Amino acid sequence: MKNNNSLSNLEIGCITFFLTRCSYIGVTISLLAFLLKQDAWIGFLMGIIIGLIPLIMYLYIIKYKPDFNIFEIIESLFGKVIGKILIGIILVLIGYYTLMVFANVCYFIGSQFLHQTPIIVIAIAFMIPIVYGLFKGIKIIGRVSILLFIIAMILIFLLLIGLIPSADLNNIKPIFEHGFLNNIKDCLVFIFYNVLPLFVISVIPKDKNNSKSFNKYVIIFYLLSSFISLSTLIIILTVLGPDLAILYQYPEFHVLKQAQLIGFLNRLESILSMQWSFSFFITISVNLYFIVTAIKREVKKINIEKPIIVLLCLLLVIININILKNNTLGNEILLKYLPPFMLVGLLIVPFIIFIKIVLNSYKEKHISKS
Amino acid sequence: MQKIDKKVTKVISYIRKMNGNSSDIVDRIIKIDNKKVAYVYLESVCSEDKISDFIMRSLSYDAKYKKNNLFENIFEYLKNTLYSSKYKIIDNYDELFTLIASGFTCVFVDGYDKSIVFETKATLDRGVSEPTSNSSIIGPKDSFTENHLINLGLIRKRIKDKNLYFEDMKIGRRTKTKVTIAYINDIAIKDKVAEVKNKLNEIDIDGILDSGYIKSFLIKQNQSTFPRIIAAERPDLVCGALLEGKIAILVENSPYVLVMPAILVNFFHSPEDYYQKSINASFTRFLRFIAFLLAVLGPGIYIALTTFNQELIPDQLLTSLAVQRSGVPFPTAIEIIIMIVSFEILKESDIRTPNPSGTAISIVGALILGEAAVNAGIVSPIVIIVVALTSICSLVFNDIEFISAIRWWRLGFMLFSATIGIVGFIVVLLLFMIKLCSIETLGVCYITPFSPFSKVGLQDSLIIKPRRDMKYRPSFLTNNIKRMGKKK
Amino acid sequence: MKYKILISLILMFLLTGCWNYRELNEIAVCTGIAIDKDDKNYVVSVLIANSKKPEVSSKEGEAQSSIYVGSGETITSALEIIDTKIPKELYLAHLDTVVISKDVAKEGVYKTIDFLLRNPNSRRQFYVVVSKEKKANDILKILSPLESFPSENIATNIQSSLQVESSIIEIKYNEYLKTLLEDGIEPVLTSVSVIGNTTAGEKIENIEESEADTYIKLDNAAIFRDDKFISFASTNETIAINMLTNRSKYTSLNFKCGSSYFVIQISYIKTKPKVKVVDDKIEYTFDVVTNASVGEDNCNMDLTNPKVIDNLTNQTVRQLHTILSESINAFKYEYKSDVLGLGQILYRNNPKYFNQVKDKWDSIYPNVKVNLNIKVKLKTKGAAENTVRGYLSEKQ
Repeated sequence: MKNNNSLSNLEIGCITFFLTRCSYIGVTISLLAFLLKQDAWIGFLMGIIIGLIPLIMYLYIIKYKPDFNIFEIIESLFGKVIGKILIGIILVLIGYYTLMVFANVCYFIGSQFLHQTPIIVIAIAFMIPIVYGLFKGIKIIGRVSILLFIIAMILIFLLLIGLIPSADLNNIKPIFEHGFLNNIKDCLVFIFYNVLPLFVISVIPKDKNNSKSFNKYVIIFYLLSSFISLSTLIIILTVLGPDLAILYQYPEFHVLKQAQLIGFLNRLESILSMQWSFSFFITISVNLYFIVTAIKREVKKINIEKPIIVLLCLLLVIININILKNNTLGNEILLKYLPPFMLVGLLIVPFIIFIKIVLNSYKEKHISKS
Repeated sequence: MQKIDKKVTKVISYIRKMNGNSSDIVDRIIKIDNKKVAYVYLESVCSEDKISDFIMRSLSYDAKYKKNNLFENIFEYLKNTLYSSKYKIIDNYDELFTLIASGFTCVFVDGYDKSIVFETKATLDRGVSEPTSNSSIIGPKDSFTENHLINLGLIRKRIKDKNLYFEDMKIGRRTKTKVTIAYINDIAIKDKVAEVKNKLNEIDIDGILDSGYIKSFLIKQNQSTFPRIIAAERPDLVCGALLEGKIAILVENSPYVLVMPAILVNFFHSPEDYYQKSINASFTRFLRFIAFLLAVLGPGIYIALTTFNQELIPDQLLTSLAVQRSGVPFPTAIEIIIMIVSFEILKESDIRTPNPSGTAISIVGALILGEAAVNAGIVSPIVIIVVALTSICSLVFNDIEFISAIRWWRLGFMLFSATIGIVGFIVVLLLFMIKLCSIETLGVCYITPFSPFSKVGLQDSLIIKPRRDMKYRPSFLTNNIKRMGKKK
Repeated sequence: MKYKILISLILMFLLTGCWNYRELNEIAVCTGIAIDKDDKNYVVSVLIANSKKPEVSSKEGEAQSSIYVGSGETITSALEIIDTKIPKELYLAHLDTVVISKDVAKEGVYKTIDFLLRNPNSRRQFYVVVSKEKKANDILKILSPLESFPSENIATNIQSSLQVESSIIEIKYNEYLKTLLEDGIEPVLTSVSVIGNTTAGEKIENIEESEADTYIKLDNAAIFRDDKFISFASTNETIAINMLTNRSKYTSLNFKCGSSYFVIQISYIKTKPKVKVVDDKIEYTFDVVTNASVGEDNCNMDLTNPKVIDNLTNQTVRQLHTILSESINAFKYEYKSDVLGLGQILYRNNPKYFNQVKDKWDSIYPNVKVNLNIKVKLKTKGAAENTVRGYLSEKQ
């Protein structure tokens, strides 16, 4: 009935939802609040709109040859040597991004929930479902993402109802204090962390029957997730105020402590924050699947998949432990200020691919005409 | 493949030797037209009056034969005037013994090397009665029995469609149990039926005593804790499943009929949901779903909240819980495990004790688990509430395998919550969901209609739409999706 | 199968874990903290909520509260000394109130409660109050017949009083931090005092009488400037703060008429501030809209007559105007502290100008002009439209 190993459009949409939401914890919101104070939501909004451009570029690349995955497309366009170099660059960038996300998770849980537990325990605990999910395959991760999407939407809905009564619009009052151009410059923060990593959906096998609505689903879920993040950002700014949002390290977690439901449930921050763990899980799983597929193509042995997965996960854990031992300054540089420079690569390399495709199709049209 | 002898006395002595001269073999030789005719049967499985009718009729041979000259010989005469409509002509001893053991009587005529066997089966079962495990409030109260033909009849009389096929096979070297696969030809998918048949044909085992034996051949035993086959005792459940495109497997001597493929939401269903108003039935189903969540997640959340994340508990409750717990020597997880084990032992003893002493023992058990344990300082009072709640919630379900699956996963949640609190709870929740999503039976994913999203399947999952509005059959089970036709 | 064994081995390593593991009987739930100072050291008292009552059997828990005191150079060292006195671990997630004495508040409040910002357990949803007594310790000792713990007593008292009248201020830790961090608004805190004999209030006999001799009373606002305590405001000034910063909706006013009083209850207050900058002169306008109704009518007025209603409305407006303008002047000249947030209002409407004058705000603040524009909508509520006495006098 259905092809083996291909995900339906709805599942890919749900994965996009979680991929976009992943970095907004601890990274995007804190950075934007720090740079733009009360105009952070305007920067975010512009980031959403401008972020559609790289996304459409990615979708165009994916549509080029619908049966191939991204590595085969690159190799067919550029030949083997340059293709392998490009793939290598992308792998390094995605690997760095995964490292950053994983460090973020461990740091977040280690400082908010379990502050006396050594980080290695949290890292191993988080690795267990990721390894298990990767063993089962990408198809299972797609199905899980639909279930997680349903739960996440319920929790987000409860979050919004619980916090809207305490919102005070005066806190975002002087609009555009920082000027329009500053907003555009700082909205690149959003693009680098939340849009560029969407490149990994190019490796997921798609359903061939409904390929026309593939673009529609991806864009709809991207917009849905971004607007939910935007509304959360607005709530953080209006409830806490921009000064407190900069003071706290994870303002989205602290604002949950003020959520109050039905008048008496007011201690719900751990439950309402479960949906972030879901987005971390899906992001790291899909990124690791990306890397594993690339390595599997190179090595071409049959049974190499499971040991590679375990090896990669152990590598992630070990590198993370060594990073997080260092001081806060090293942490800040590695996790907050260096990534934009690295992730620009995820903008440049697909751009090169995009231009090559356009040139190729132009050449083909020219040849077919003449 | 030894052929039957022509001399009747030799045949009888051979049969007696084959079976070690068992005490229930009965044989008799009568003379018709100066020829010896013998019949042999096992009196433990045959009904006497059918046999005596044969004797009466055969003794009237003289009058009929000699008068009308219709038949060439006695053999033809007996073949054509037998009382029973089910008969076979066989010529070797192996087949003969299987048939005798099934309740047939075999007739030998001197000088012929073939034998006529006809059915004289006695009814050795309890007759159609009320179901013992899935009880019904409104709706039909008949249930399957140990008689294979009655079971087939209960299905056939409900679905009078010509497309309802029954296909037979015999499984088990020594028991030679009859196994029937039932499906509706234009609804069920042929590949699935073929797959089931292949799996059943591969079974090479000494004996099948109950339909449960087949379960582990149809699906690999270690793959999942959740059951993938429904064992149904009610015919209306089986017929509803057949009409959707599922396949039913009926095993002789077993009152439980296997229905495949089963998805997770089927375990929250009961046939009465279709006989009431849809909104009431939806509420009941939703209640069962909440019971499932409480049963699996309950102790895990309790442990996580009271040992790691105490900030989630409201003020007053926290202080009273803290005071209640002050004399207890065990950690929370061990307390809960002790109470759960005691409760399971109590449940098991309740099933095994004979009825007269049942009430006294359950009272004693409740006393042990309740007041006495609390007063002795072994557990704190709220643990009793938590354990009682989860156990009662798990008893909402009919299927015993489902309850066992709940038990295993409950233990997993408890262990991880006891290690790292609510983070552990989230980790096991993810594992649980991955596990549920990866189970597949006969090509159907376990959490359809949520994961491979099927809008039509949602109309009968955790909520139910009124019968009028269910226009299509779910497409993951069948290709023929139109359920109701349009009347002009 | 092999991977399952590997995972189980890893899991066994996890099961030894007892890092953050705390059973319920190992934590001391701390619901109130009181901070005093004697000469050099901070004296910190904590109110532990889950000690057992001695007579009752241990399973039917009735909790009672107990107080432990410790002193040290910083708050954290004082808490460590307290830790040596209790057999359990201090757990701050259920903190209800923090009481700070007047003397400590004079030196700056934030230094004493900074530790609650950094402690990962605290949820920052507690009330901060200033005690009018010499020792904040005393406040936490008073038992009350209506609530189990003194700290809870204060917290629920604040919440319920605000539904009826506006002479107290409700500030949680988060809001306090916000007013500290922002330029242009100064923090206020509510105050608590003890009525009656303190030592008698600690004993359980206090709540066994039908009228308790000793109890806690919530009082007017405490005004701060630059995080240092200036003085306590009067009742009218507290009402003014609540009305002008949209913190409460209820209050009541008494009018004298002859020998008895007439009460108007206000049930809805909304203030919209506006600001205009003309030639370096800042002018504020507060539009106050209220809904009022008649609470008590002992003055024999005919409430069906529209003229009478107009008269009452004008009287209410005048009274409110007096209260508010007197309070605003007091804030400007007497306390010299911008509790109403005038600087913040200027920032929100005209950020450029505010950024210019930010540094000189303390000297500019007393010279701003504040206009009040009060509207009262008087509706008679309740079943009676007229007074009983009036009806009786008609009958005669």
